[in-house]
Amino acid sequence: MSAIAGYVGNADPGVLERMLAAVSYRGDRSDIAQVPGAGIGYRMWSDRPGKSSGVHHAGNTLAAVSGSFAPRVDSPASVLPAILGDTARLDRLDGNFAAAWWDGERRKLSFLRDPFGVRTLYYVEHAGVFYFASELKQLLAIPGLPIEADPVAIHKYLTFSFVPGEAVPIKGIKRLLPGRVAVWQDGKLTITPYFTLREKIDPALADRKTAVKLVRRLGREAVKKRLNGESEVGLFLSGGLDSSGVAVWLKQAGVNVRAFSLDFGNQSVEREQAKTVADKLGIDLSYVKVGGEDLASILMDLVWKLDLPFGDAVTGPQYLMARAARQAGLSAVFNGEGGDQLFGGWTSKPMISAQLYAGLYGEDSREQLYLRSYHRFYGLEDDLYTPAFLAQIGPPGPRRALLAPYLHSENASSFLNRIRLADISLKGSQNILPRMDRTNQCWGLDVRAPLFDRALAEASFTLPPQMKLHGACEKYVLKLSLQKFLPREIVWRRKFGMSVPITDWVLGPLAGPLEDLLGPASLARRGLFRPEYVAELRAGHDHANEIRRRRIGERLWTLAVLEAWMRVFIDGKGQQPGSMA
Amino acid sequence: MKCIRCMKDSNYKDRSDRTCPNCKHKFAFEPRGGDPITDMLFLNAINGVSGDGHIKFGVENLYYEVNRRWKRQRAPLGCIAFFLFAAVAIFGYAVIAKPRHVNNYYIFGAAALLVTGIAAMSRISRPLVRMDLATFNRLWDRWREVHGIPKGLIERAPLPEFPKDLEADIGDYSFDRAVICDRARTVDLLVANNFHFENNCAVLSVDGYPKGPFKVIMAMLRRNPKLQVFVLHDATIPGCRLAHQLIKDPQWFGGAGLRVIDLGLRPRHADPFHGLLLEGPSIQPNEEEGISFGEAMWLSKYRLELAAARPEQILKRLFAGLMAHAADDPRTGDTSGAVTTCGAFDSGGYGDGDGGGEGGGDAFG
Repeated sequence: MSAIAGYVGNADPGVLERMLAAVSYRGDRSDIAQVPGAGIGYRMWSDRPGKSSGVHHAGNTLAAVSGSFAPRVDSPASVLPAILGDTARLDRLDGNFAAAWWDGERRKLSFLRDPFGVRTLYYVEHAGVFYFASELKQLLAIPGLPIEADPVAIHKYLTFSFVPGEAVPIKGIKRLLPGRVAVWQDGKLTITPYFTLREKIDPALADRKTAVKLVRRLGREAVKKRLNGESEVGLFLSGGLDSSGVAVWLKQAGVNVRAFSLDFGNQSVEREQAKTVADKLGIDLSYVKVGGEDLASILMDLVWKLDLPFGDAVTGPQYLMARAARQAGLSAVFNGEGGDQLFGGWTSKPMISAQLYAGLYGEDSREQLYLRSYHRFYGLEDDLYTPAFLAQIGPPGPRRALLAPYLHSENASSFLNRIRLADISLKGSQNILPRMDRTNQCWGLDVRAPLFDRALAEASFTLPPQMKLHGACEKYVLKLSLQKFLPREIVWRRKFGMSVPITDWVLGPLAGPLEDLLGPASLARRGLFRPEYVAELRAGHDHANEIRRRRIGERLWTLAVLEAWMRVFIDGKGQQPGSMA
Repeated sequence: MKCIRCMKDSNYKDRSDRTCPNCKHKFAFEPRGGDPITDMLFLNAINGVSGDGHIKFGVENLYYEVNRRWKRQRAPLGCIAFFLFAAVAIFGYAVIAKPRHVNNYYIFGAAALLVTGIAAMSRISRPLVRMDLATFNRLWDRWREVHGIPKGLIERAPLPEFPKDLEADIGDYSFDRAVICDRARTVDLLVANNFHFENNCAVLSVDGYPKGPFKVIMAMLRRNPKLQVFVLHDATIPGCRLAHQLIKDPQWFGGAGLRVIDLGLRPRHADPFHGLLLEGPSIQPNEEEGISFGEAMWLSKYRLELAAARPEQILKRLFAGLMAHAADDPRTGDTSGAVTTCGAFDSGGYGDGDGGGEGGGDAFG
């Protein structure tokens, strides 16, 4: 819960103040340090352990770290130059952070993001000055920066439900991808990865006991090294395997835990399971009731705080759950994100099935199969896009190009691990983690996802793939590791996953806001979408081939978030919006 | 007759050489020239069977859809009503007005109209499909010649034994469930519409289709001791036998102790498919495991193919069937296995409407 911003060049001296003020909810104080030709600003909360207390300024050197390293370092900014200069330390670098270092001697700016992408960094060059910032809206505070929507990035959003890759939906602004260090020197930008997952199967881990021992040890350590000295932490407990596992390891670390779980009334999927786990581990559990009407009142603020459009409806409930945790007096919260990506859940089985039948009726590339798994508008472009929008999205291929480096990676030889690489790098690092950070940061809550731990992730790529997907049993080794500590029905039951009743919401309590955002007048003004298809969805109908009703809600929410985002970030230039109500 | 391209209605004398006088587009069919249907009927059948272009379909699905629409077109209620009304009117006139010249002509005329009406009704209520396959194939060839192959038609590509460049580990895993069909073309319908992908599902035919990955998939199925097995079939004797065959045959699930859920068509589902049935094998009906005597009687007279249901309905009803059993433990506790016959096709219309809701337990995506 903090943010940085900076520039290289002859910028307006007041620009950093404006860039930090744009994210005032990310801290209660700011620190700005400027030297000739460069400046770095830092927005932070007072008295948070494991965080820098200001911009590190020594001679011509400026450094700032938003977030923290894992294990904890008391003043991350002061050690940043040493880390960047030491390959061995970079090889172990972990945590949730976005950091920047201005080396005045060499007139070199280095900036980097954590390995999995919890914290974000964007950059833009404007009027001869190079700027970077934690959030997009900070860059929009640069005086005179042109703000124009990028149709190609919007097209990608409509496929993935988030914006993948370096481009963002505003022309000219780019995002540094996770696990990379960028260097700006002599007017040139060089980007180098410092973290790459590679499959190195260890045959010894085919032995269950050995594999379980490894996962238990690394799981415990992943949690422990993310405890920054808080006496009490929160836990978002869904009742599924992953968050239950984090609960086990938190209890083993001896910290007080208060758990929060979402309550969708009679549409809750795992409410009882969360209680079973909390009872078993002796954790205090609070339910956070969420209904469609709650989302109506927060929608515009949510979209503004998310910064980029995220089309998964889980963001609203997560935002409300983070608010509840903050209101309960907590400053740090853990969750179980990452279990699917590391240990073989989510896309593994559908992709195996799709791959075995691929080519039966013509060419189906692996990338095309994978793109379908996002279930938004891939293949529906002709139904949804207006001719004018279709003409702007460019030639086919960029979406598949995002996937090819993972789905055919030379860093893995097994099918399962190639799919894992894609899941971690795209859905994990560019969707789940940044949106998780945003929905918590906006309440001043520091969120930690210990399953996205560097050592644990690297170890997961030494496991024989069959220890992850064992027959049809997903996350097998994780289940074996946790079965001793959790009720059997929690560990071995079939996965249900977070299921937000978004279709009922968008067709019910959210119908009013959707009329505003996706009604004929709004669609005509924006000119992106054909009103016929959107009207069909809003009437509760999808195409005949869609067998799941939930897709109606998922698709409408994706469109509604995009329109809200366009109003806030394109029309409103990133300024805080008013409520829709 | 309307042109399917420009929608212009034209008279027979205006459309020389089967060409639309407005846009010069060719007609595939000419009812005045002996064709039983119009281009518009065929196009509507394609749109209906493909869910307006969103569902992949087989030619067999189109055959039944054309029949369904042709049946409607050939059975105008007004025509039946006319015959009955005319017969009653003549009788009524003869009885009430008692015309001076009442004679046998009145009686004969009324009776003739009544017989014609009854004949028309009996023809309409004939359970068997009326347009034979040879006629349909002739129309289908003509349609493709004039209008091309419609969007969504399933066309198979040859599949290698097991792709050589596929990672070796892909065969080490398994599926949550398997749908076993009595026909390869049902497999085509499900796979072409991504049912396997959406439901973590293997889809195979009992005669070994798709041949390329069949062995690999069968080996994968055996890796899941809690595999949910569903069968989907025509209302035929082999189809209704299929579930029992699978739990006994060691090449399939014999000895695995699994409960197989039969979601296929049975004689009791035949009512909504009136006019779309095929002739049965005309053999002596015999009660057997999985087939009651009443079913055997029906199955000896008729056959009902799954393709007679619209693809949209097949997909939605199968999905609803899978979801209804999502939380079931398929293990029977012994090696003999068991069959549960469920009614995926027990209610609702099969040609139109929504059908098949969404059950719980959907974890993916």
